[in-house]
Amino acid sequence: MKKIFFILSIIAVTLTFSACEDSLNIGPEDYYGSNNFWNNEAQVKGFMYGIHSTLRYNYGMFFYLGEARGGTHRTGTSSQNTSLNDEQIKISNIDKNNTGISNWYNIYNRLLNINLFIIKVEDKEATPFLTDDARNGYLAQAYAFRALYYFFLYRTYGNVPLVTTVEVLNGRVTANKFYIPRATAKQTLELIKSDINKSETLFGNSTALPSRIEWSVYATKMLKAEIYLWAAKVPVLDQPKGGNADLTVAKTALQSVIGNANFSLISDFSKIFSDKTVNNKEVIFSLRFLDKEAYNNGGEFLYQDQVFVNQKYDRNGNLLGDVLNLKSRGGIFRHEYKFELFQSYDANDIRRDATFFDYYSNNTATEGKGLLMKKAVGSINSTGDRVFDTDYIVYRYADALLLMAEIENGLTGSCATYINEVRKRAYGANYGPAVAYADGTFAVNELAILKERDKEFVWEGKRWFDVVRLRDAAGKSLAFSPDANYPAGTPLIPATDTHKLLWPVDVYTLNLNPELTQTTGYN
Amino acid sequence: MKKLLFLFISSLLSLSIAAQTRTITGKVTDAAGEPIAGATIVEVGVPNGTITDTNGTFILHVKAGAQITVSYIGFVSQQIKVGEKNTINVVLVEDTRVLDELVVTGYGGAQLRSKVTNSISKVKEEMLSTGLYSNPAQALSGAVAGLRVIQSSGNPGATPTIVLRGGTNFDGSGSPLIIVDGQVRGSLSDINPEDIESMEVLKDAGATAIYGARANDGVVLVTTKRGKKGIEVVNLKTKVGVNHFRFFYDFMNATDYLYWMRTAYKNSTVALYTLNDGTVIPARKYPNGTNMMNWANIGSLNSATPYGTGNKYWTEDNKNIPLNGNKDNRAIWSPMKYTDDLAFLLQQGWMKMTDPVFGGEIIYKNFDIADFNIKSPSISQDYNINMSGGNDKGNYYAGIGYNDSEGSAAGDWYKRLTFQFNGDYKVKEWLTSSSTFNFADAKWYGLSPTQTNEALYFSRVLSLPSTFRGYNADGEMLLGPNASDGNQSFQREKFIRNNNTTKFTMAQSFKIDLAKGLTLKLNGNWYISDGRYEAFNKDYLNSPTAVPVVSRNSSASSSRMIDQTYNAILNYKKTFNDAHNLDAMVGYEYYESYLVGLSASGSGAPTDDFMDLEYTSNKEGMRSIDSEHTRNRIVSYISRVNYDYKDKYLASFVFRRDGYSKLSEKNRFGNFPGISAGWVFTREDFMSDYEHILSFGKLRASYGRNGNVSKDWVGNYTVQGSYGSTLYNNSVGYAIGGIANPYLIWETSNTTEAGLDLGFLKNRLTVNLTYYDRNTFDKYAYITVPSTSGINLMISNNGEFRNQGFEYEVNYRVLDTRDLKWNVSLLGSTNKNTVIKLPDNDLPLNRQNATEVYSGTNPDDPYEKIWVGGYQEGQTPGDIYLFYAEGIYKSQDEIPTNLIDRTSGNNGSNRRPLYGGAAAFNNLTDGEKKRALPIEPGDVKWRDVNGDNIIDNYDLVKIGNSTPKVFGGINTNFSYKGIKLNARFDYALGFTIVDWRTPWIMGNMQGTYNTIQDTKQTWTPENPNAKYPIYVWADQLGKRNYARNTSMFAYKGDYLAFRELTLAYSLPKGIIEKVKLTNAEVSVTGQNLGYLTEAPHVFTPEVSSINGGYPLRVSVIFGLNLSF
Repeated sequence: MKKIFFILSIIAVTLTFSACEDSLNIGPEDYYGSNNFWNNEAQVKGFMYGIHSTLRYNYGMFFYLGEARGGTHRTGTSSQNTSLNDEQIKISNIDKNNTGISNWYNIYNRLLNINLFIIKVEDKEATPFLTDDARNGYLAQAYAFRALYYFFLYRTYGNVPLVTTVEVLNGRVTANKFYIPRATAKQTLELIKSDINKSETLFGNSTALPSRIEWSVYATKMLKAEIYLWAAKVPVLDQPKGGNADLTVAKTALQSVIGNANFSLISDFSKIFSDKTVNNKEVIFSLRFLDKEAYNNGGEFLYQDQVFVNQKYDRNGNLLGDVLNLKSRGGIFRHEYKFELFQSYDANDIRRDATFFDYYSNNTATEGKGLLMKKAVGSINSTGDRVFDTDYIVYRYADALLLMAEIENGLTGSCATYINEVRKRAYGANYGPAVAYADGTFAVNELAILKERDKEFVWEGKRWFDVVRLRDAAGKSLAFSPDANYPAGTPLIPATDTHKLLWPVDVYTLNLNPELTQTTGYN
Repeated sequence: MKKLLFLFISSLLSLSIAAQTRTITGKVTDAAGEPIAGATIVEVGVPNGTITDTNGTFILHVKAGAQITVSYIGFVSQQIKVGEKNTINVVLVEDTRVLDELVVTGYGGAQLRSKVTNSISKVKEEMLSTGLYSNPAQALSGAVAGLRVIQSSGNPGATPTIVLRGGTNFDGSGSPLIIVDGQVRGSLSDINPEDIESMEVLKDAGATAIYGARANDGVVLVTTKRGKKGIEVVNLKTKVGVNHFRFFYDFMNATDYLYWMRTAYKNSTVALYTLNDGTVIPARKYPNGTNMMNWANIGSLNSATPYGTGNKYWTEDNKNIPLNGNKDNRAIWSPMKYTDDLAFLLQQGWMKMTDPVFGGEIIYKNFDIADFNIKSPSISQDYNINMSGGNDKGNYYAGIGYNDSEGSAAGDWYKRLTFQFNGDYKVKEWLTSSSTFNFADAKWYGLSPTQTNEALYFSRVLSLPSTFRGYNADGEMLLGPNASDGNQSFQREKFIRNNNTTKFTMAQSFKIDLAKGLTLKLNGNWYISDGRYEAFNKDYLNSPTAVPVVSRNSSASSSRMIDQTYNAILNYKKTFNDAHNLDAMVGYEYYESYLVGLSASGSGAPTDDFMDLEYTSNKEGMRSIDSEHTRNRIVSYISRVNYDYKDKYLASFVFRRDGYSKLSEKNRFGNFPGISAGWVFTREDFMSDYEHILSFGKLRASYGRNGNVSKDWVGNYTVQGSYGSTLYNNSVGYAIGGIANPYLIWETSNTTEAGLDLGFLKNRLTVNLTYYDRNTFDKYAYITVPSTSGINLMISNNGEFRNQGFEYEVNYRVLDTRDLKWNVSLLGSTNKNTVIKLPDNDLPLNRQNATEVYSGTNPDDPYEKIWVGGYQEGQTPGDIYLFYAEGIYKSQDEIPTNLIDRTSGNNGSNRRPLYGGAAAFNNLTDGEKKRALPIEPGDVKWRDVNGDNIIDNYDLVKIGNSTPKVFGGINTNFSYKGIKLNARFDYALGFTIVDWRTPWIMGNMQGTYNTIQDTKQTWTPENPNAKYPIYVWADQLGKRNYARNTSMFAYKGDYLAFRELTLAYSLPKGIIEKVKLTNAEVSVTGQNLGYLTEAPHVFTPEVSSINGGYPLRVSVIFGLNLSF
């Protein structure tokens, strides 16, 4: 008995030895490992959703890179006695030790996915299951996304390292594999132009608008117009401004959008942000935020009950309750717009009260003036709770009109038609000759376009890029113009600090890559 | 359950014992005539024996002509012929030559202490039985040299952090492998200390190599109790603890709060304002004549805030209806401008004071939020009943334990029910079956769901201003300003939280005696760990003004981890020629851990009556559901040889080969050898002359290798890479998740150690000394990659880390007589961690996360900088660099007029530039001139390391290091007859504590909350020699006297913890025997009585970076043990 037991166990143990070593080969059961992806179109399509989703995670890029330095934000202590965020950025107090943002605002991490997508989808052997149409459609989107990210980098840093491969998936990762220098501004712009043109070509003759929250041919046209407008007007390091040739390209691109039946200005300005339906004709491309899926920081532009409710008064002297029905979900008040911006609106401009809610610490509206920004107030969800799920609109029809105004101001000198189209909606019934715009000189028009954009696009990530791009009579950026600031009087950036149109690279990023140099002017 | 248990136990007991032929009685005593309890008396050659009772007496039935052996640990055994005697009294002689204690070495191995060639510390049952522990790791504080136990939370469900010999990670972390009865466990939680027979801590790789790939941070082997032959006993143990919260902050009462808070506003106001009597205080101006940029808004002193006078008692239009602070936030705080219609409140305990800022009278009330949020005293209860018995054929142990502990936070509790059954039975002459069953069911609530952060709960939330009204006019509790910072008792019943873990261990082993000395042991272990968590929020208030939150979130999740371990161990033990002792083992093991989980959540139920997920809204996006599966496997080959020659020359060799599914196929297997040797030199002839002094001496040395695939770095499938999923507009999207990394290999540690074990004066004094040197290479380390690669960090194997140290254990039986015993032991260790190698990154010393500071030592270049902190090759991690506070400026003349401060500050500082005088102001840039603030008396004088009259972010000074250099414990036991007095202390020396929370409070960084009494020692014109800088509103928006990394709140961390003090009394035998008891003991224990340490406001000095937290509760525990 004993022996049998022993022999049996020895046999059992021996048998399991070899079997068990094989049992060490196990893979994930709940998700794709690196070996079982890129096998069907559903994965490709899903990956494109993923690219949209990662852009949504990076939505702060529009605000921080595109708006925050624009001089429309209050700094220091807010009217609710909270400390306001990002003061250094908001007053452009940036230098090489104090860069405000870091790590290229994480854009290269987003580009990794896009570069991989382009490589896999372009390679017919890697993705043989795609039809040509489908392949072109996906690639058109991917190239446009890459152009978008590099366009942000270009406007922020001028010249940047250009990466279009995915070396990180190619063998053992070492740091020195990625010691890449900054390309020239010219090369950077060339890549951006090339990518957006590829996108346009790949979309072909398609005029479909499958969805306003997915990248479409019209989003490509808008981005192309923006890129060429920038190239036309803004010299960047070794890249001189392109002038009329680029303006003409931008104009052609915009002509596919303006007048297109898919788009129009919707009559109620306040609905632009609250209406998430597919029929919001104002929207050309927006990033979808959704309850339970993704929220934005809209709460930081509003109030917390204990410092606001029953403490502040409206302009008529009424004590305020939970006036925006936030249901105590407001975040700590971290971003407040300058009261001067509010005051720059005409009282009849319905955009003013659709964008802001003004309040005061006394009932005579003389002290403690403050502003809530209502565009990102979100919605009440199906359980009755306030959620900050306002879509982040990247392109909308009013933008197309005002970009066209700017292009026409450069080409023909006439822009009033487009500005007035926007003003008609802004004034509604009160629109009339008194508030209509009449063409002026180039510089007067430029400033008028800036002020119009300021009123129209609060929070939409435009103001800083606008002020850099738009020009005064001498052809200099309005960032140096005393008239462009709130309040007017001192320019956003002193004339001597021209390098501050671009941002410095943070020390950490510089230290990681010995090939990298600091942005011109910051050393 | 009980009935079943009884049946089972009875069946084990009903083993009939064959009739005997004669009966002998006797008594076993030591040389001094003391009775020896528990001595074993065995009839030679037959399975028959017994054990002496507490009086040393025994009764045994033996055959005629039998021989008996009498033995007891620590004494020389005797063999006696029974002959015709009916009474045999035995005097045992102490065996002074060996330190005979059995030490468990893993995989069924055990060695006599005198023969151990490794560092293995044993924590005996006594250490676990005095205090009241919800987790046995708590009993390890100061109990083992080289083992640091950090109790960083007083939550009864918390698990202490254990680190052996400095840890193998760069940051000094790394926890030992925990093995309970052969089963790997994630931690020591949910184990009843009462069921533990011993805990062995295996420290050197010579010993831990037997656990191979997971053991480079040491191994804690927990062995549960098993029945002993001849001892049949039932123990009833009861402990009740009364726990007090240790307040580590002394917040101001309402009077002081109002005075200081309002003064703070005044101190930080630079704009024009007018006093009640019409006096106008002008705006402050810069040297260039412009007004200073605004800092505090003094108008807020009139608002409805904790310190403001804008609060209301009555509704606007009716002076008979009081406002309800749960509906209107103007009725949360008490301060109001005094008016006669409020005079009646003075009879209700409200008070009146003069406004220190504007003048005029303020009426207010004092309330302490701790009344709502802190439970003190709280009660802990621990009940145990266990029984054990055994004979030649088998033995059993069964224990049932129940622990119910309340925490210091109101509503925080932890309950644990455990059951342990261990049985062994010799089924056949050659086959022994051993079964282990362990069950633990733990339930807890935890902190209030509206504030689950321990650090905030016990610091920030307690700093809620004392002007809180507490109750409304109807006597109902108020919520406070919001749910997270307010009254945590207000609506806890609205939050249902069912947290429940259930853990089962079922183990079965067969030991087959194949031949004399040759055994095969087959083990199967199943460990099932279930977690079930349900949470439901009924409608609750988030803040007083809002309508209730009616989202009715409900979630449920359940997970089951099934760990299976199977091994086969062949053991051969033989003594050759009475001189060569051999104990050899080979084995094979297969391990699998599989986790399956299911979770679901939803919201939007029509009512808040039921948490059932069925009622949640089925609208798109309102429900979510997920399941989880993850698995890993290990295949191992194990061997060990212990050899000694005449107990004098000792050698041990272990070897393990592990294959781990977490690593890629080609890097999957690793080999882990360990070798050790010892020389008991006191057994040499030439030492015999010194035996009366040096009774035992052993030199030992070991070398071994361990691996580690830390789960913190390498998950089950990490090396395979992943595509992560996300949602975009409810469509599933994918993105690159992890980057595949098939190149990862084991992290490997080589440990060398040498030690000396000495016993003096018949082993009354024993000393153990050990030096160790552990080198961990191929360390997991992040290589930082330029982000243009698409990633920022990649895990890689290319660091090397070294722990070096010295361990000492001294035990002295100062008094050792029949009635009077006193034992003192001191143990501890020194440790030094060094980073030997880091991933190549082309930077000097391959530094990571280092920062630059001025060297301050180069007279030619005051701007010379050096890289400090972070990780750098050749350095000890954990250096702390701070701005050095040299004192407080007492008057304006002390402030250099050209001093500029351009530091960044912390806590969301707005980095306003500071200037000492006009000269400095003129040197500021135009932008800076608009935002600057003057340095004034009451501000801190910071050390200007490079002497350039500019304080900037490089003016940092090394203050200390965050890791203790020395740590250990002191234990002493004193007994006189039935009275016992035990004391336990533990200590850590040579490190620095930085308190980050106190400056947050004293810097008024929340902007409205209370401050502590220390603020009375802040600078004021009347108190120019104050200890602390001026108290202002929101210091981070001002001059950063508190809101920077300041040395002012850094302290020497050295502490002595008064861990336990126990007084126990065993009732005299004469009394208890009348009620059929064999033992009755009453005890009172003080546990976690406090720390002797420098830092005044730390919740514990056991962690070096303090942000507030859950202090250990100061407990008084009453115990009653009965045995029969």
